[in-house]
Amino acid sequence: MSKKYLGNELIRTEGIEKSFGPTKALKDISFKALHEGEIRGLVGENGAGKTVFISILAGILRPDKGSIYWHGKRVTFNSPSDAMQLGISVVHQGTDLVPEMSVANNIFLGREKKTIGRIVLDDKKLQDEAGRLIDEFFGIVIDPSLLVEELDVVAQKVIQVTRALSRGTKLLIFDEATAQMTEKEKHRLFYLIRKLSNSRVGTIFISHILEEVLNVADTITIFRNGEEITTSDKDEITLPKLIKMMTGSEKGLSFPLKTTPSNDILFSVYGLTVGNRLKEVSFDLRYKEIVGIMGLRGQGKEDLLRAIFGIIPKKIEKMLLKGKTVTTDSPFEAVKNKIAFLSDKRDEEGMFLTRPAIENLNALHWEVLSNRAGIINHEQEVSQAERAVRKYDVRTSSLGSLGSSLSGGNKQKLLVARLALAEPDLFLLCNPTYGVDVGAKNQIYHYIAELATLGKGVLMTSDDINEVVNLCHRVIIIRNGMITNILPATVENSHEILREVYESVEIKNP
Amino acid sequence: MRFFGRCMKALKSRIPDMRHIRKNRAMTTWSIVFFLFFVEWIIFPESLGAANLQTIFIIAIPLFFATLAQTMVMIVGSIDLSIGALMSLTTCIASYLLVENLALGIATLIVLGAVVGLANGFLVINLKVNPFIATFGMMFALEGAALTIRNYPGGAVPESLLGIVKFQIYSISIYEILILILGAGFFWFFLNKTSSGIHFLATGASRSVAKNCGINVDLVTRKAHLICGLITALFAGLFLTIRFQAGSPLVGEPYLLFSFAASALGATRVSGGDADAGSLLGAVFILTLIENAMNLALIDTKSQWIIEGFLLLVILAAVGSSKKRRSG
Repeated sequence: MSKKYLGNELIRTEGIEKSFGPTKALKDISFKALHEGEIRGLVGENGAGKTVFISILAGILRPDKGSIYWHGKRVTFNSPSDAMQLGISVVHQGTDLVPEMSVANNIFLGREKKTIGRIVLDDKKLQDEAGRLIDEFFGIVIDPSLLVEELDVVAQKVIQVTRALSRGTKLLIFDEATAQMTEKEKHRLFYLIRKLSNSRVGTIFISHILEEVLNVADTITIFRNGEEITTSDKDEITLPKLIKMMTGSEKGLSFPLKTTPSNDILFSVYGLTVGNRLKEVSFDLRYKEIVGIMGLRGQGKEDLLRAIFGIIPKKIEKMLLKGKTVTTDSPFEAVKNKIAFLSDKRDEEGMFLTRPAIENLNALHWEVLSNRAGIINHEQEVSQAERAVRKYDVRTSSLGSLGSSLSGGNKQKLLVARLALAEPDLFLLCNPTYGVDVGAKNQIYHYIAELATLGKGVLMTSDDINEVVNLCHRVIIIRNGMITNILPATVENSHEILREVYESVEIKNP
Repeated sequence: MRFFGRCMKALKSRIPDMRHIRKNRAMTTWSIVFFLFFVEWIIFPESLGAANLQTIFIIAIPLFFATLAQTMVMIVGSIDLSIGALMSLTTCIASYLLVENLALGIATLIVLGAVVGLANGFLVINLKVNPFIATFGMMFALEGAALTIRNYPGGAVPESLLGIVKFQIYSISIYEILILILGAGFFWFFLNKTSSGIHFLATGASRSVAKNCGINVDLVTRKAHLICGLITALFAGLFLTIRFQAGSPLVGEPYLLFSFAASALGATRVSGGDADAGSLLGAVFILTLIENAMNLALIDTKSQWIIEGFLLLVILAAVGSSKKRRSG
């Protein structure tokens, strides 16, 4: 499908360079011209420079060298609003919508007067205009009087994009916008993105999931170590080729060998209920076992681990860990009982962004590192952190660098290392490999497998069937707040598992 | 030479990265301190005299402890607006009790500080009142109490306590310097060497992350308010009483803004999660020297307030914008 671009050139860059201290984040990036109506996939490993490059296009960072050409004319951005005024908008994974306000109000927030031409608000008029815009851009109908919190993720993305386009956006950048979507939701979003390209909007689509990029993009640009490797037509590229160019080697996903779990029960849950989101859930986990939890978003999968860890309140008959009854009414109690939790919200619930890496690493076991008076053994603290950084391959310029300076994959490896250092009996991992590149993923799989061989139990949620069948021993399927099935996690079972996950779930269309 | 260089390189690579050696953190602050002192000395040569050096420390000590108290709650991500009022109340009570019975007086201050600190913690954590509102209400209650006890300045301080600040060897106030160094030293040790200190910082850096790390963030916040109350009453209030040799129901008021400004100027992260003992001490001296210079210039108290208020806003704005630039 060699699509011919009727549109004019929209944006290109020449020789963009950017350094942070001694690290060169971008070395001479000449982004090949993107045309109106073109969807460009941008891929690269963590730390390849995608985020920095996008930040430069969005006016958040200023390049040290090089220039940006907009419609062939050289432009400089002094602030994000400069870029926005030209017509560049970034759509992130979260939303920046106000959940308690209506669709129409969100779209025109701050421009109500301009839109309807007077100060006294006329909801009807705003809503009509909003409905018209959504229909114009996407050809779909969303009731503009609905509150944003009542919409599903894809519809929320539609609102975000509509707002951007109604402000005159010509270039849309999707930065990991699909990170928390299920397969079905993604496909709906891709369909809508392709529709958009008919209205001559240029799109840059960034994702760690390469299949996604191959699915949606017309052309693909590959970054490696701050350099642009190539830009080529989607049809000229295959997945293995893409991985090879991204990583410089032909490595794909590689899973560790599965070991056999013990026959003894490590952890069991009886009758766990969370409001009306989880009903009477019971299951058990053996020593050395990795159990995956799958289900569509909103079906209760997210709440299960959080409830066990005591973040959200629950009703429960009983919970046994190593044969003893444990209560976990707060994370504090859970950690005391040797249960550790890895959140899927890395920056909000995982990393101390403003604290140094070493404190982030040791955050779960200061008690072990300090004497009875609470005074920390500095030598042990440092030596342990150094060993962990080496073992878990956390790439940071020093143990003193702030948590925010690490790249996504390295943050995730650090968090896994933090959990492992505390030596709990039970690991609760929420989507442990979400948003990290192939290399880091493989490493994290090996760390998780190693935890199991050391006699620990691992409960992990995942959206990736590949990961579940290759890493886990069993998989729990959750639907409508109930465990509908527990299946052995084998490659042969993949279809069966997926069928269970998707079966008879109502899917709202935007 | 080359050999030497290689040795240094080898040596450096062997030194582990240590988180607490963040060099030059307090350097800027202390450079400003010495610069200010130099300027003051040129304009008012008498500022190096024994009497003025003593004055500087008498001003600095209550301010230091007020700042330390404020910083304790700021690092966990809270704030205390009742510090100034508690200091006033302390001076009112202390100026009665200390001359009667020193031990009873001190014990009363400890109880007062603990009660106010526990109450603030209870309001913020158990009743979930926003710390701004909770401690603002506490401020009014304490001011009322202070006015009930003393309607106008009065009372006295025992000679033994005055001796602490008056004692000088070669015009150097040994005790006061010792108190400041001990205070700052304890704070440094707490932040860098104790697990409770790390728990405080973690709670302020991100409550939800700290929770997931098994830190009892509610307990930590209550502890911070308790410590804040104790430091305020027992140290900041007591030394303020000594400074004025009397009790007064409004004397502590300016310390609310001062404590906040000195803390922010002293590298404390306003939203919580970071502080530095050396910078904090330096910031206290910056404010002290400004006040001292205005006293030497014979500026009256009301004008001083206007100038100080304005200066503090400038300082805070400068701190704010420099942070923005660094992060952007």
